[in-house]
Amino acid sequence: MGDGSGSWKHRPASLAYFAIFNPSFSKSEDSANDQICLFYPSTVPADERARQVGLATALVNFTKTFSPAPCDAVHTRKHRVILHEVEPGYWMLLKVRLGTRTTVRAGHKVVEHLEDGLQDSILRSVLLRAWEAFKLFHRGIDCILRRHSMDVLRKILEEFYSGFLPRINFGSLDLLDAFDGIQFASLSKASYLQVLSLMRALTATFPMLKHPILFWHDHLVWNGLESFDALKPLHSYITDPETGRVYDGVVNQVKRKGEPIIATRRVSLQSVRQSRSFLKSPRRGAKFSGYLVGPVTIGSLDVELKKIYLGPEGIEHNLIVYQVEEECTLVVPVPASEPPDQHSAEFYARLSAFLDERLTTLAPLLADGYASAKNLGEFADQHFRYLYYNSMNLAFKTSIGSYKSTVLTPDLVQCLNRMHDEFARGEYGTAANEICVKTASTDAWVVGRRSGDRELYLVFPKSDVGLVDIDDEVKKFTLGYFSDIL
Amino acid sequence: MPKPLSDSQQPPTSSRASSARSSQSAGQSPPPDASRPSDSPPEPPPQTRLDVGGRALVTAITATPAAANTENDVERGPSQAAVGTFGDVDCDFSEGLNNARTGPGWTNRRKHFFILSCAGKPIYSRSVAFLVYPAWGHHMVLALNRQYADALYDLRIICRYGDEAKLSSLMGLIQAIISFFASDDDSVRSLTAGGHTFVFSVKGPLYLVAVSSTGESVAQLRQQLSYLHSQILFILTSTQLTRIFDTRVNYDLRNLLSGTEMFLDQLARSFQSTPGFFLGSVQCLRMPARVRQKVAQALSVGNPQGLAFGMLLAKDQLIGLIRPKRHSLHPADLHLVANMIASSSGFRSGEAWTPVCLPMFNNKAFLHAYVCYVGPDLCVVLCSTDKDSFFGMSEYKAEIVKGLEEGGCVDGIDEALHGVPYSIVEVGVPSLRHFIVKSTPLVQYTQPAPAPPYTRKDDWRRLLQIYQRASEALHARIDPVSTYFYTGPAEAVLACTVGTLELYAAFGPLVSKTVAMDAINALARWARRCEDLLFLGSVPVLGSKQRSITPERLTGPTSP
Repeated sequence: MGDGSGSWKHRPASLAYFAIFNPSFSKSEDSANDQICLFYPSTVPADERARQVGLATALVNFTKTFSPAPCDAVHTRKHRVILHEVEPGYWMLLKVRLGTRTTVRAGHKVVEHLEDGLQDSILRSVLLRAWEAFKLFHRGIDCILRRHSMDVLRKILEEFYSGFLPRINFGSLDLLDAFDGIQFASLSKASYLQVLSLMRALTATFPMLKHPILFWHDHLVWNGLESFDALKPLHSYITDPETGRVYDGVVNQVKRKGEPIIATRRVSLQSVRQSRSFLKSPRRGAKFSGYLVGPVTIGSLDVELKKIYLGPEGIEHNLIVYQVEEECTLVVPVPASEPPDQHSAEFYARLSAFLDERLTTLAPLLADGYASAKNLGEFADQHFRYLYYNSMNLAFKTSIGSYKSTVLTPDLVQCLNRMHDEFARGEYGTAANEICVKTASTDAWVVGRRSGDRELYLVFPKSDVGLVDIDDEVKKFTLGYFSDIL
Repeated sequence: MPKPLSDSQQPPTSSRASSARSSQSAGQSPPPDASRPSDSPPEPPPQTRLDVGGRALVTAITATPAAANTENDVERGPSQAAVGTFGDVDCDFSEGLNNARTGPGWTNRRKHFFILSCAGKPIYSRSVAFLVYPAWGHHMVLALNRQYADALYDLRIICRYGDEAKLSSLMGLIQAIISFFASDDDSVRSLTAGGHTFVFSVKGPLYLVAVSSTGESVAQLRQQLSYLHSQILFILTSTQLTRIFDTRVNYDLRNLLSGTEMFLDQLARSFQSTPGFFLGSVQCLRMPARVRQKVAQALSVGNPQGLAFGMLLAKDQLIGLIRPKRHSLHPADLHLVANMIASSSGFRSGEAWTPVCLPMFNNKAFLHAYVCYVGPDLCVVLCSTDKDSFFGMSEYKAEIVKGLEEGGCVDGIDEALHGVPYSIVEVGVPSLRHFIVKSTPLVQYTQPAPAPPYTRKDDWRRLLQIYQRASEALHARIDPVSTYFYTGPAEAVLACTVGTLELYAAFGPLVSKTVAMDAINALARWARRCEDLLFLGSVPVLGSKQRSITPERLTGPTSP
């Protein structure tokens, strides 16, 4: 298209296709399509689907000749493929078209393929998240197939993923996608005790609400679930700024059309966080309070329970989500084993009254905590940006993009991506504890540290200082903020 | 003066060479399987056939005392080549790998290279298991331990080459995978499977594949495949290769390569033991400038007609070089020449004359290499464009030897050879564990002898891998870095460019950055001070018959 005027043209990376298949379902060459549970987009012709899935199977078998682990990633000139066996026998395959830059050199079109943000470690996180998200609402493929026919399974998968996949922007993947971490709210001792007593009161008043999870905007204030692994997909779903924008069968359509349930979570290191919306809402007085998952109007008798499945065993829970003043969101998965008659109109009315009262007093405390932590961070932000992730409790914190001035340039984002990939690859090669590089083009320093489950990245843009000075800065920072852990 | 040949006035040629050349000059169909020329004209007595590692190499024996031992050397040659290295074991890929019993220590350290034709015919396969001799002995003691006993037992099984049928079917699969992607107007570049990396490279009619669990990156493995491809061109030229597959797609190239596998074997082993390949540069013998000048003088006298490159090598290290005015010797070509000499001890026993192709110089045609050892470690390699210039080259070699003796270089070179590898203590930076200094414009590097812990092969390979990563980061096509500092559990490595020098330094894992920076600055000062001693700074060019040296670089300005 359009070889026109510009000297170069950029096309971002995009999804080529996404497939779920089970090779054992196809008994012969002719029935190759029987093994395909999902192929997205559905416009791909049947024989092409069979061909691509056949290739994936062949690659898995080929690599097994040499390696105990099967093929998990393929790099081609134009594509990246990630393969993962999500359930025994079931494979998930993600194929992404690389972004291209077309330049016209001496009358010839030169197409360059770019792998920005498409490091294996990042794409693998995207794939696993897609799987976790499905599991959250549908438990698993085999479970569905045991109860329903293949056609039903195909329909469910198609329905879910045709909604989920278009949300992913493959053109701007970065460490936020790789980690999918959780922002923890900063709590002073006093406000922590406030939260603690609120949660105690909640479980005392409503014994069935054993695992309450409280968010202040997208920040996690309280996690009542036993494991962070169970929290991860739920957190992902609730804080995703896409959730609620279109009707997905779970969230009530109670907000304005096209408005997400929680809007504050950032999706890219290259976008600015709208910090304004944290402290004051643009539409004063019109703040939403009410059930996001639960009865649409309090007092209505007919409540449709939304099922989710948590943990590796996929234990069935009914989900309740209540939001107060668009600030605090309480998410409670109620084990399905609890007596169902609890879900009465009266229960919902009581809960809503309880939360309205308690959370409105808590919200200012949380906002204060956020503001003071932000002031502390401001000092650091003048010199550098940081990004911290702990894969054990999924804690994630970054100063990148807190303001317009702290947004990273694309080359630095790529530098972080590559560094993370190198750390991720460490288990197979030469493990690294720390890598510092000075980029040749922009003279920025990037420092990456990994110790155990934790990764810390610091970026010093445009600095004319040497490695020793940078090291001093890193020491000062880690002593100040992470003295107990790094 | 050697006048070995009689009536025919033909210089000795290898059988492969003559077959290659006949097909080249006549432009007929590629040599069929039975293309080896019948040895119809009885060879004159002074000429001896050397069978080096299976490759028939006809060598003219000079009237040196060494000639007497030739027969014995011949017998020893191939076997030495096969076992005289650090226990790299040829093994069958599938049996060795399906073996869960061998434990992670074994399966984690394997590397395989496969070369096949575009029709899926196997050309070359090599599986390398990295075992270390000293550790070997150690493990032998521990053989009572069941796990180790199993390992040893399995190793015996896998030490033979895999059977042909298995290899063929695997090559067929690789060929199918590559063509599948090609039919989508795409090309497969690499796969990963857990800790294994598979790299695919398509070079004209040849497909090359590396399978590795050594932790090397895709880029590093790709570079190694490229070296293996160059090695095949070195033996065949691209012209011949293309023509063979143009006329007979199904041709079994092993017919033509038989006897030269040791070159590929030697190369495959070298990748993980010397940094020269990933640095794209050569190691030079550390030697006083005075001696260097004398060597250059000796090389620039009496250049015969047809001479393209003349090299003086010792233990893989470059001592002297003479080159044409308009051409430079690419480090990759020099690596191939050094690799050839290192592959076979047969060269030690006389004068050899063999066709070679230096792919970076001209991948379409053969040069003819004259190889002769003039000292215990000192080897003269002369590349000529004229296939009939054996005697001219031999005379020129005699001139060089005379020149070296007259100039008093022999002692100088001997002394220099005794001084390598030098100790890191000489640099006087105690915090340094090891380093590499590369001169970017000269494409040469220098390094001290590995000191503990890098005397252990495993540690050495790990260090080289970190150096490789650092080098990759410094030379990345997109967003290169100017300083790279790595800290791992076993060491810290700092790499940076300072002017025209590229420095790589290894420290203990707990080194502070202040100490590391001080050390690298001290290292840079040392390298600049000793630049004349460390690097071959000026290279004489051909045709300057006078005893003068044109101060020109080993290579010209690098073209993009």
